[in-house]
Amino acid sequence: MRKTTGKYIGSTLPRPDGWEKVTGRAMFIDDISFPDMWFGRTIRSSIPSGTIRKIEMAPSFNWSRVTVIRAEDLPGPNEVCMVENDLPILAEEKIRYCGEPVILIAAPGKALLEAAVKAISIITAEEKPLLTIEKSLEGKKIIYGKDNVFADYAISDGNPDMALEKADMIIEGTYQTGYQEQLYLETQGMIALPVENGIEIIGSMQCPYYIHRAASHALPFDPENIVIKQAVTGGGFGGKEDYPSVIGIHAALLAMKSGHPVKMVYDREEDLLVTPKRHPSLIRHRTGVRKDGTLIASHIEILLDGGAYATLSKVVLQRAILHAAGPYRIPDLYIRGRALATNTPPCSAFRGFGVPQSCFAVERQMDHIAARLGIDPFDLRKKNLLQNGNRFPFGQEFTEGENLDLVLEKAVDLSDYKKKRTFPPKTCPPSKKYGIGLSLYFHGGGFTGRGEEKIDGKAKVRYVGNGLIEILVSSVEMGQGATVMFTSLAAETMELPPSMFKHPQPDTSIVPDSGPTVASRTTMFVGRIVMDACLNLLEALRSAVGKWHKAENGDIIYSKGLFSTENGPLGHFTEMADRFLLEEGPLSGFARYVPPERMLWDEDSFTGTAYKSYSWGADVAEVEVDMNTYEIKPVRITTVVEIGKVINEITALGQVEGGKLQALGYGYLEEMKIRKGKFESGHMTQYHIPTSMDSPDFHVSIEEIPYTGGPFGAKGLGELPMDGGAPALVSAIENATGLSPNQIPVTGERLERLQRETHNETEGASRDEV
Amino acid sequence: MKFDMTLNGKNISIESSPLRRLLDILREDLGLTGTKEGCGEGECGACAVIMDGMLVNSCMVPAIQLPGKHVLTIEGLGSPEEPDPLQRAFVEEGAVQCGFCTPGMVMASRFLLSQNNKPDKEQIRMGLAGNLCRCTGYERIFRAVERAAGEGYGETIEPSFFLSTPGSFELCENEKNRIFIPHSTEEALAILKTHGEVITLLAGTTDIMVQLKNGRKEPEALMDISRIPELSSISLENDSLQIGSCSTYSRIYSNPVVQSHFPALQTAARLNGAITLQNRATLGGNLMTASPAADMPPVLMALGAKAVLRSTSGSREISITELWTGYRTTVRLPEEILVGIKVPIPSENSRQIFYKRGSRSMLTIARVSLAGYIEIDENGSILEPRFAVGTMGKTAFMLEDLQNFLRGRDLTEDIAIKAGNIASGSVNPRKTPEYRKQVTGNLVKKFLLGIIEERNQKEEQ
Ligand SMILES: Cc1cc2nc3c(=O)[nH]c(=O)nc-3n(C[C@H](O)[C@H](O)[C@H](O)COP(=O)(O)OP(=O)(O)OC[C@H]3O[C@@H](n4cnc5c(N)ncnc54)[C@H](O)[C@@H]3O)c2cc1C
Ligand code: FES
Ligand code: FES
Repeated sequence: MRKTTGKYIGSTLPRPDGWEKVTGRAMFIDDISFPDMWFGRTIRSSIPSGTIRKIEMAPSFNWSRVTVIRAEDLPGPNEVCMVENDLPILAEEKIRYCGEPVILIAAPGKALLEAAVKAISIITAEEKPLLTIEKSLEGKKIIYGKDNVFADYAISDGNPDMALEKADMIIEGTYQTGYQEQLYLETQGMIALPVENGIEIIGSMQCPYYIHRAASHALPFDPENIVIKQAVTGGGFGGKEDYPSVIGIHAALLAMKSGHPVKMVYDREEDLLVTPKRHPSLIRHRTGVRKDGTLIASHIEILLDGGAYATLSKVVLQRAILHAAGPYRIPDLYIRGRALATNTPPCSAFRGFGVPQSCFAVERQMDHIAARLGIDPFDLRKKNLLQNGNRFPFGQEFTEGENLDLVLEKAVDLSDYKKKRTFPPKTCPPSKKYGIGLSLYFHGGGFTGRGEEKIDGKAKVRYVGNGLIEILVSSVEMGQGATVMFTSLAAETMELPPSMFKHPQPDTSIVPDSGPTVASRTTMFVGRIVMDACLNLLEALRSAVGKWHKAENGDIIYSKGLFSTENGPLGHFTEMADRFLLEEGPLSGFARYVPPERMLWDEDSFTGTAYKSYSWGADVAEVEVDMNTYEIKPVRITTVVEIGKVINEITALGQVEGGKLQALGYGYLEEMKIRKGKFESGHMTQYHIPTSMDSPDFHVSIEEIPYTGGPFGAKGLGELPMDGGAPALVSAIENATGLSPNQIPVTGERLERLQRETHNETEGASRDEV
Repeated sequence: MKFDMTLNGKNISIESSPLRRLLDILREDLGLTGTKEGCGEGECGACAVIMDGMLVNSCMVPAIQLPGKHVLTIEGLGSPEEPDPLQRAFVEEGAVQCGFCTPGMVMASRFLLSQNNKPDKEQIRMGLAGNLCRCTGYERIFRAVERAAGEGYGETIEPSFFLSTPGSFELCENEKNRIFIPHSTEEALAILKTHGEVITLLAGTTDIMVQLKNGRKEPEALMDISRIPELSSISLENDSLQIGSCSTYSRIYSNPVVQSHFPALQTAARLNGAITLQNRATLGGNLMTASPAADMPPVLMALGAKAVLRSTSGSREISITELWTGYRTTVRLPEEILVGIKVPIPSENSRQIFYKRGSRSMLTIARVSLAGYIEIDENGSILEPRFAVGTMGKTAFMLEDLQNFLRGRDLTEDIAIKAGNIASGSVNPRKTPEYRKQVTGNLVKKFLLGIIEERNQKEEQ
């Protein structure tokens, strides 16, 4: 086991939130109710594009018993503000996607609500929808801005066109990735409570202050009278980043109009069919190489299907572009990315945030280059790794050559990749084909560019008496382990036992805005701010102790929870802190984000320090493929990640394993079918995530090369595991079958088709030769 | 209706409408919110509880089946201050992340350990296959279960003997001619004779509860047939195995005769949904829902089973192939019950197989299912080929052309390959036809080649 730093950093301290969860006592949103609470529901469009003609409300139904809200009833702007303000709270006249909210209803009971929903119908006139990225680019029908483009960025370095001409070979590839659903096990849900001159919104969420901002924009209340509280949250994975603002506002509107607390909890079908997913992508690579495998130039084009509204597409696209060239040295390069509008449900955040798409493409492209040149994929990668002193395509200096090399070499060693690539292990049954493949990836921690500076995260720790210290941040625990992480950092910093700390679920009337719980930023950035806040609290207490004992501040020593002077101990932290509360008033420490120096990012030219730090990873996937049934079974996955410093060992391993299984599912299993703009996989027997029978054996190694900017050297981890799994898996499938899929998920149907097409092609080719 | 049941060791009285889900009774009526709803359709296991010693999804259990039952929920184990050893293992091994799957996962682990106190990793995987977790990748959960097993957790669980105590209940006025809970087949048939037209039968309710959730109208009248002992019995009579229609999959695959003589049936029962389903879903329900994607029809067709239908006027036995008349329709008359099936004990020289290809390993509906049965005489010629496929049409059907081709021929590699091609050509599914034709052919070929290989190995010895 890894050595701990101090007492708690890197330890296996159990998560404090675990006990209530494992005993069923933790209160998730659907577990909470209030007296006289009503239930709310959203009535949605059933066409992808068109106009609302009429809303018919059955006259036989007694409408006085329920609350109904339409766009014209809204008390403020019809906008859910996120990055843009284009998303309406309720559709007015135009329908832009199937499942778009049109009417809200609340009723005192579920049966009555059901009856009310049945008594309403929306009459629409359908228009021909814009359903694909290609059609959107064509621009014959415009549904967003002038040209259907949500965002369009390019990076260029050197002169790729000229360099391509000099290449020995140009290798082209087109890669496609599908929708992916977060499938947090707890569906989305909110309860809104009317309070005097304001509203309180409680629910399942990642970003309390996003909801606060959106609610303040949409509702006629002073921001201080809008309170957002997180309930225990059953997984988010990005899916509860922006969408909770929509449900929060919906519930609030119903609560305001009905005068009752209103609960809106989506059932699985609604959640699957309307909430945002990972963007489908279409990515083209043209790479110029020398015969010896040196990459000399590359041209990358990324297209993301953003769906009907802007949501976070722009930011997702930025990250996709910044990671698109992989951790490789390509002197001359051009990357262009566009996010496009279609009449489909909006896509948005999902763990990885654009990187899984661009990583899939670049890693597959590397495999293709290797195959064309007859070089092993490992050797090709090794040859082209970024070296210290190189620059990323966006100009930032690369300094972590050691880290990158470490993960690649170690993953290959641990998995015995080189041997197994030539001699498949005997464990694979003869009826199946064995394959092994790898992928290499990285993930920038925290917000892109100047995001962290804009967020300006703040944290507070507060002594509440009875030996209890609260960590007040808006960063949430949603399963990923924020609570045990904050607790460990604070306990270590203050040299006090973890049991003295509590990380309560955020309540915006109490906690400062430490930013949203996204972008693998919580440990690296917020953790650091919390440590500073802890030090500030200690400092405040130390000066009071100095004052009480008429000593100079510097003479007071604080160590292992004890205050003392040279002459001997003065008392334990708790004793001193209790006295502080009695004599001096509230005891707390506050801190805010301190931007590192000389880290500049220019969004217009898309150059500079894109991220403050990077985490690195390499996967080796081993699969068995049954060529009778085209069944793919990942049997073993070796993952090596370098994340600076592990704060909690079991949480870190859990993040890697859980994220990796999602990444594998993305590669071969998880398919959100869409037909005529309508999602079709509305049940968990239609959208398949891996079961315990589908999970491979995990071999995980977490490496630490401390990063000076992070708490105890920690960098981001949350999203990293999501990035590399799919390409490693597909590489292994290729190794097993000789077929080369460029589209994920590689379902049995796709693999069979590919086999048929490949077979026909070679047949055709050999016939031509005759 | 009003009834008594035992919840976490305490007797309680419940008043509920007959189709209200156990999940709602727990969460809404009794305020026990530890049991979670992740899907409401039996697909996730977040709502899993232990009922009469068996792991079940509480979203699949209607109140009408609750009188007299013993239910254990997560609240019946430890508390945050005093977690039980399994719960402690979950937290300390990192098996809990968001915690939403956790209560169900703990119940599933407990059930597993109650059945098998030292499971290996494969058995743990299988035991938890009905419980989805999106956070952990399952690895830490396996470790928690291994640790609890190592600490002897399974041995501390008392085996439960309370199988379906009759359980008294009281009906409201408006339920009196609508709700029936008979305890014998005769009683059931008498009721059906007068009310057959309007009654919906309830067995394991894993189909019905899903249909109700997805908008099926509430039936006019209900009859719970799960408490009729005759319908749940499995017995060997005159060279055929008789399986009562209310036999659950877990009873079927645990039956020694099934294990020794019907490996194909055992596989099919094992692959049906996952453990949470197998403890409730019944053979009769599967056959009578008459879904073309169901697993039992093809396997029973290939095994040459007969269906036994009974009414007050008597019994009739029909070939199982005649049970279905079309998409989700059967020959059953309103006054009839499917009492069970009879499957002839296969001859010594026979081979049988059931293949299912869904999208993932477990908890999946078949995209291709194929059952095969052949008898081969001493000279190696094929006597009695029977092949059936599911998912390819309005009902499962037999591959007549393939059977005709194989009958009387010597089984050789060449024949196996031709047989595969014929099988491919005999199915024509609407969705992804090429893929499913190909797989069907491959599987027929694989089955036959396997037999040849086995024969060759024997000869070598
Ligand atoms: C998550 C999930 C996964 C599933 N996976 C699979 C799978 O892998 N393979 C598969 O084949 N199925 C699967 N199913 C479907 C289902 O479990 C089966 O069809 C099951 O066997 C139905 O049995 P039951 O006792 O639960 O049926 P019920 O819902 O009780 O009854 C189903 C129908 O049969 C009628 N019926 C029941 N018994 C009789 C009788 N004795 N006489 C006359 N009519 C009767 C009922 O009136 C009803 O119409 C799955 C279901 C779920 C929810
Ligand atoms: S809620 Fe998912 S199985 Fe019952
Ligand atoms: S811990 Fe979140 S779903 Fe299992």
